[in-house]
Amino acid sequence: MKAKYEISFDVSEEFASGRVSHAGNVLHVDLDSRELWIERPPEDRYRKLLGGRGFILHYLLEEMPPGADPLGPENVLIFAPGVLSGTILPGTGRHGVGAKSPLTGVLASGEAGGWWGHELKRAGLDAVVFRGRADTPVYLWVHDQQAELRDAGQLWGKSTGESQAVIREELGDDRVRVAGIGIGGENLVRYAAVMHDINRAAGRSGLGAVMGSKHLKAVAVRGTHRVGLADRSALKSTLGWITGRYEEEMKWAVDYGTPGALGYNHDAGTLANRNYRDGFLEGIDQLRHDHFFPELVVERDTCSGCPVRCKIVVENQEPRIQRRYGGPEYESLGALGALCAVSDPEAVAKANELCARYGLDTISTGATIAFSMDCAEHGLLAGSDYRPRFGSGEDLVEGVRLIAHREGFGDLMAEGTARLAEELGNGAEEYLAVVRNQELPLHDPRYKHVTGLGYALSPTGADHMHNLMDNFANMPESEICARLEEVGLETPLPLYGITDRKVQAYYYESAFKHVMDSALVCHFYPYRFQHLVDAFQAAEGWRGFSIEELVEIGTRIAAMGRMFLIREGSTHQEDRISTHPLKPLEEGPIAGKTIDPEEFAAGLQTYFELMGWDKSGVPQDPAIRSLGLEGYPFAA
Amino acid sequence: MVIFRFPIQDLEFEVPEDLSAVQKGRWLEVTVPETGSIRETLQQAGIELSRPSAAVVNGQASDLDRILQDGDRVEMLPQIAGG
Repeated sequence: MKAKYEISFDVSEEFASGRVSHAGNVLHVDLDSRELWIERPPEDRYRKLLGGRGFILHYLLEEMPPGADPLGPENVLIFAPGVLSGTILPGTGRHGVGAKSPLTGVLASGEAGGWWGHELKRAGLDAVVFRGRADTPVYLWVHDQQAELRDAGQLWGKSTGESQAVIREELGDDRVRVAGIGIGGENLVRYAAVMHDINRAAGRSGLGAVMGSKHLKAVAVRGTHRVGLADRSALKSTLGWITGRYEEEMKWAVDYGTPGALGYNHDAGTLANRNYRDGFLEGIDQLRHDHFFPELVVERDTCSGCPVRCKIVVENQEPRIQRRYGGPEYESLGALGALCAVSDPEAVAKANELCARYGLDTISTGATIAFSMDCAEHGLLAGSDYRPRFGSGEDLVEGVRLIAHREGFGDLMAEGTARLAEELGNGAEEYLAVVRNQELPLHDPRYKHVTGLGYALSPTGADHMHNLMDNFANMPESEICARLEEVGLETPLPLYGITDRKVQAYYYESAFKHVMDSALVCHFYPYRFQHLVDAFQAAEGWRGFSIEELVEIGTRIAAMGRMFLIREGSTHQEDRISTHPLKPLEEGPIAGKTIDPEEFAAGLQTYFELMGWDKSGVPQDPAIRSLGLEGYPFAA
Repeated sequence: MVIFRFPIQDLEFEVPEDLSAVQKGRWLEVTVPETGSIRETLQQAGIELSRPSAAVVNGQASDLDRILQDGDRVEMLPQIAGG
């Protein structure tokens, strides 16, 4: 039944008594009419799609009209934890956010850590689905079995930090968890992020702009239900395994978190210095963890139920960097630092803080500024009020500010590099590093060839998360090799090149990651297939669940992503990386290396065959039926 | 002979006592006879790595199955999966 402005709902007896890990409720919110209603999804949807990305794709394929304007009221915005979110399995303090992307025109699907997803589940919801556009700014307040749309007029224009503080004060509860946007999302920056707890981003593909376009400033949540398990004994061996091993297997995360990767990735040649131009970064030593940790890092932080504490908290006096905004992860250090050739850690950390404050994706922000630096160096910004220089921390920080405010040249930069290149003309597209208009993350495809193939195959545009890292498939000690062995693949695999065997490895590894992003589990945990199989049996009591079923779910979600991509007008022609980041370097650890175009084309075909798709990557009937996807029509 | 270099602080490894190891800045250098690929040479020398690591040989990012030649210098770089 629909209700205006606010609604109360029940949770299932099984959930209330802690005997199952999903609440059984999805909240729908129509921002046009300000109506709210509860859907009770059929039980088999949980087993087929798990939540997170699976649910996001279900609602996009079912509820969003084909060809909808990503920044129009018809776009559908979904927040979804997964069936494992908030359980006692370590690494499940995460949830997904999704919509049609204003940057790529295809799927936007990001995950964030923290406490927000756990709290939403504890409040009695497995997902919230927004459609429409509020005529004045609103925020949604969800607490134990109640939801309410509230006025956000006083929050509009505020930073993520101020906005969260006002909401907590208004609701009189400091434990309220807030997902929200800053002025980046309000100003429809095409790569604006949704921030959670103001320092955890569902960062990529412009989800914050979708929120902004709907005049939805925030979603505040607090719940007190306990997320239970159907069969606790099924989780016993996994819990014992991870508790006994995480300090050793995740030592990297315990010691320095992802920032510890920066120096070594530079030394291995995967950092894409100076917009993919240099094999080395001048001043790299300043960005190495052993240099900047003592200077800037004041604390470590973690997510719900996670003992690892991989996140860093940065504080500084001049420039002032507020600790509440956390600190830069590897990708942020790489994009705002190495890509822009900026090696001053204070400038990079400041730019990162501004991205959290304004709600911007650090990867696309850094990549757009780096691209602008490249264009300026090539004389393409002659008439512009902003001509940033490679290596200038000042220009970097100023660029972030201009983008968020859409001020001057920032108005063009807010559109992302592909649209900016089109606007600039004069060959600017020569310096682009994108797939489907999304800027590449900091894993150089000249070094990681199958990761590059994965960028082209991703339903979200360039993405390193649901992907295979060639270097890990080359290391027999890695968790990736352990997983591949589990499904019968021989490892290690060669570092360079795209072979059938490596594409097969990508098929399994990306399916595993789609399951992680749906169920929702942190990628940093070294779980194997069997651990997740056990976790599903424990959480939901699913009988007969197997590794085969897990792989099937992962390929189902990959196929749904492809179906959505095709339905929204993207084609096989776009299964490619722009040419700039493939030009071989003259010096450095990966000098002379790049992807072989023939291997790349053959790799695409190998993957299409494994998925049961045609030569253009269009899912075909036998595969669609066997995955149970015939109910989602899509026109090629 | 080839020289392996390991970052002392961040890479967990075990080097047999009978191998001569020299500390140079943040690196530990170990000289061993080359006995085939990087993997095989490490194994033959009894050096055990407990973390996945990438190899850079004479400044070039290399497959761990690369066959080593006399005089090669190999840096072992700890790697991090995920984001």
